[in-house]
Amino acid sequence: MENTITVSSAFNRIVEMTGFASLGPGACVMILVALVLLYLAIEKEFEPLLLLPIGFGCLLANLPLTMMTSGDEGGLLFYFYQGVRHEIWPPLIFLGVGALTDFGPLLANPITLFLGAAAQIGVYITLVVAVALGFSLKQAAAIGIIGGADGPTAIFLANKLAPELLGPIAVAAYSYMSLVPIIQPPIMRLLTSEKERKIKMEQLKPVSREIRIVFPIAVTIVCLLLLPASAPLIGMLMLGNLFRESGVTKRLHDTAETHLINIVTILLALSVGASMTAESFLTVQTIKIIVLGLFAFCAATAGGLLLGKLLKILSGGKINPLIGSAGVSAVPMAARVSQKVGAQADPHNFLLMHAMGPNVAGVIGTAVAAGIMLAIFGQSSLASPEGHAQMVIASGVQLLRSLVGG
Amino acid sequence: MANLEPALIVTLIGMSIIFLVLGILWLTVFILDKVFPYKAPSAQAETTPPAVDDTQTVAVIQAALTAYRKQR
Repeated sequence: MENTITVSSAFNRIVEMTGFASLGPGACVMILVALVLLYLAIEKEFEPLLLLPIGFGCLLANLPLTMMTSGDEGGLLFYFYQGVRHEIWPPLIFLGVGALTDFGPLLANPITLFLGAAAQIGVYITLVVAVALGFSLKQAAAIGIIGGADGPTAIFLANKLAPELLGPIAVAAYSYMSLVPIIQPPIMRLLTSEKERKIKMEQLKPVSREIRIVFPIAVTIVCLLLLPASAPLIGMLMLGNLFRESGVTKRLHDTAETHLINIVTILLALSVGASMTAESFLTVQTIKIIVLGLFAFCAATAGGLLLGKLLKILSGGKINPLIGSAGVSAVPMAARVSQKVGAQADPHNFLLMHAMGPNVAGVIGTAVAAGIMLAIFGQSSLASPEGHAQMVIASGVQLLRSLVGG
Repeated sequence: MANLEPALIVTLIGMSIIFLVLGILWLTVFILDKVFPYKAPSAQAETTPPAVDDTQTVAVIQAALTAYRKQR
């Protein structure tokens, strides 16, 4: 009889429909990676708000036949991932970050803006090293932004310039952000003397309400006129801050700093996890990115510290160079590390609020750095996506040669 | 390695622009501080505190005192 169903054939068909039949070695390794991320998030509390959903998204994506990868059209996480693909989630996260951020310490001591700028050297040095290791310019730019220590910015830029590297870049960025208390102190002690670490800074002066309100508007106008490509990040950051400082949008402020940022965090992190398939993650490039990420953090810390030492000299010893390390955007972790290392040298030294200035300046600096990368490497009206980058670089080479007299 | 020179150029351009942008922001804050200087809140004249209905509180205290005296 045709189409006879036997016990064994029915059993075989059922087994074939389960995930076990399709579970390959790559998927097994990625499930293990997901479990490691979950362990780091839950047991070690490494940025749990991000690493837990990233780890779980990775788990869902690598269990076979679930249609839960970011590329499985029609699957749930495919639709969540559209928020990453169309650059919606990272700017919304920045809206919440702006609502949470107090720019008061920065406004009280605006010279610390330059410490936030100096820390971005980690981004560019890493770009150069990544190119030397064989990555393309766009990929190297996406990897370099890890040095900015800003997760949403890293995801935003990676999605634009190197979406195939989104998974490892996001994991590296968030993992190293949580390791700031371990990575930074040895570098801080290496680059500063005991005497420098003991420098006590003057109490921060109070800042008027009018400055707090005008500042986000002024930053938006200045940055977006100079770098329109940074509009999504800088614009949302400053809108969130204006919700906070205006005092007339309490409901919007409350929503942005709590419910909105929490919801978007879940969607963003799950989406990032869903992009971590074996094909995209289990590559030699991932190992290089993990190493480059660490290098980027170290270089950014060193850059901030070195400018901190220069500012100490220029200010006549009034600025403690330790606050330079807070120029990385890991708010407020990096500021706390400055406080901790300063307190180890002198228990009566309170650097936390002073370090918050460069810490929040670093958020602006990293967003500006991302805008520059997008302006140079992003899509343009020119026929070739690389054409715009080549044009900018060629102009830069020409200018340098004319200056040198070649 | 062909991209090394462009990478160095991008580094130079990028860091210059970052310092330029944040330098302009520093100048902006400097000007804002002159335009909107911080004004300490003026000391408020002593005023009579608003009347508060504390009769219940007085009654409770009185009851407690009475109970204490009875115990003694």
